[in-house]
Amino acid sequence: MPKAAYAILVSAALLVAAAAVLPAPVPHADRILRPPSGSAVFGTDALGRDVCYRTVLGFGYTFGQAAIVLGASLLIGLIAAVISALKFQRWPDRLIVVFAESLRSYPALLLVLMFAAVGAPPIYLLILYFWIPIWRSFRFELTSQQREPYVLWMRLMGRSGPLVLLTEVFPNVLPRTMPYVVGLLSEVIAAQAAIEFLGFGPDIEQPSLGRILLESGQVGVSASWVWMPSLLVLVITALSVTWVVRRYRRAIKWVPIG
Amino acid sequence: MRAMWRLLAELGAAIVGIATLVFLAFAVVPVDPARSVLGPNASEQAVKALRSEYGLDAPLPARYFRTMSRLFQGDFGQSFYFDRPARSIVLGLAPVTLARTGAALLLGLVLGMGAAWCFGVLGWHRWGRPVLVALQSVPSFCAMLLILWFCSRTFGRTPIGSAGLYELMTVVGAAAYPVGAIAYYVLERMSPVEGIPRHIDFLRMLGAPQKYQQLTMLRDAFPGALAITINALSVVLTAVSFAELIFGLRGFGIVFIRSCERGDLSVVMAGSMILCVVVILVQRLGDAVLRRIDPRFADA
Repeated sequence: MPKAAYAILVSAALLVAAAAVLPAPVPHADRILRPPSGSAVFGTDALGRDVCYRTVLGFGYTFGQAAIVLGASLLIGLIAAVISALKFQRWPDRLIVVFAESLRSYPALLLVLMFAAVGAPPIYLLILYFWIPIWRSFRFELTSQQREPYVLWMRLMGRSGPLVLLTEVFPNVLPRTMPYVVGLLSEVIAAQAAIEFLGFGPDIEQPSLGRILLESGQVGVSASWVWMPSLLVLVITALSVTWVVRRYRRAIKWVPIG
Repeated sequence: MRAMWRLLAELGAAIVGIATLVFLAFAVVPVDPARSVLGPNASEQAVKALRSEYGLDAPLPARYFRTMSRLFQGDFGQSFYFDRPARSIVLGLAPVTLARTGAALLLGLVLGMGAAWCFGVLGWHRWGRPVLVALQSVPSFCAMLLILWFCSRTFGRTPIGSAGLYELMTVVGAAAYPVGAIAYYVLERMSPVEGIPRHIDFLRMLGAPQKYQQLTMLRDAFPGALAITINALSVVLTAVSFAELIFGLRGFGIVFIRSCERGDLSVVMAGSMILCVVVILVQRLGDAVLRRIDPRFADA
C-alpha cells in the first residue's frame, strides 16, 4: 500500500506538469455534459470543457496553494516554537499559548470563511491557522529535550541556550516532527478545497478542485462524471499523504545525535 | 476555586481575542453592510441613514469599545439582515447545530470503541487500519457530497422530501472522523505488536479468558478515546456546518456562512462567542472528567 501511495503522488505530479505544458483542449458547445468517452476520458462539463484536463489542472492549483500554506506555516510555527522553548512558561511563551488557544478554539473552516467572506485572501488565513499545530508539536519536542544528557553536557561545555537549541536539539527533533508536519498537508488540502467549494477560490478561468465541485453542484449530482474525479482526487491524495507519513514514521529509528 | 478563576481568565482572554479578530475583519476590509442589505440600487441617502441608525458612521475605536462593552453585557446588537437581535437568532439555531454535533461525537465514541472491539476480537488489525485511516482522511464536505449522491441515486430521496434521512446522514457523516480516530487509537492499544501492558500479562498468566483480557484493554483505552472525542469537537462542528449547507438543513451553520457573506457582524459575533465558549467549556469539562477517571491525566 505505501508503494502505491508513492506511485500515486509521483504520477499526480507528472500529470500536473504535463497538463501545464500541453495546450488546453478547446471546449465545444455541441459536447455539453457528455459522459466519459474516447474523445474525453472523464467526459465534459456544462460548458463543454474536458473534465480530465480541468481536474488535473485543478489538482495542481489546490495542491500548490496547500504546499505554500504549509511552507509558510512551518516557518512561522518553527520561529514561535523556538521562542516558546527558550522562554518556556515565561511571558513570551504564555502570550503565544493564549493567542494560539484562542484561535484553535474556533473551528478552522468557519474562521477562514469569515475572513474570506469580507475579502481577505484565504491563503493568509490558512497560514494564520495552520502554524499552531506545527508550533505545538515543535514546542513539545524542543522543551522535552532540554533535560536530556546531551543537552546538559553541551550547556556544561559553556554553550549558550539558543545555540544548543538550534545546533543540537533542533536536528534531533526534526526527523520525529516532520512526519506530523507532512501529515498536515492532507488537512490543508481539504481546507483549501473547502474554501474554494464555498466560492472563495481563484478567478473563474483558473480551475481548482473546490471550484469544479462547486460548479458541478449547479449541474446536479446525477452528472457524476463532472464532480466525481475531483472528489476522488481529494480523497486519494489525503489517503496517500497519510500512508506515506505513517510508513516514514514506522521506518525511522530515533537515536539522539550528539 | 483557583481552577475556576483560571477558567474564567481563559474564557475572558479567548472572548476578547476572538471578538477583536472578528471586529477587525469586518471593520478594516471595505465591505458595507448597509449597502449589502439595501442592494446596489438603493440611494446614497438611504444607505447613509441605515449606517447612522446602526452606528456604522462612528470612528473605528468608538465602534470597537461600544461593541466590546455591549459584548460583556451579553448584547450582540441587532442583525442588519434579519432585523432582530442577533442573540435571539443564534440562541434559536445554535442548539440545533450543537445537538447534531453532540450526537455525532457520541455516535463516534460508541462506534469507534465498537469497531476497535470487533477488529480486535476478529484479529483484523492489518485490514482494519486502512479503513480507519480512510475514515479520518476524507474531507468532511466530500463525505457530505458523497452521501447526497448515494442517497439520491440509491433511494431516490432528496433533502427536500426526506429531511429525516438527511438529519441521520448528517450525524453519521460527521461521526466518521471520530470513529476512525478513536478506533485506530484503541486498536493500537489492543494490538499485540505494540506491547502488552504488565497487568494484562498478569491476567494471561492467571489464565483469564481472552474476552476478559480484551475487555480490560478496552476499558484502559477509554480515557484516551474520550480525550480524542473532545479534541474532535471542532472537526465535527465544521462537518455539521457543511452538511447543513449542502443538505439545506435548518441550523446555525448555514446562517453563519450566509451572515459572513452579507457582512452581518452582529450575527457572526454572537455565533463566534457562543461557539468559542462552548468549545472551551466542553474541553475543560472533558479534562475534568478525564482527571477524575484516570489519575495519569491529573499528573499531566
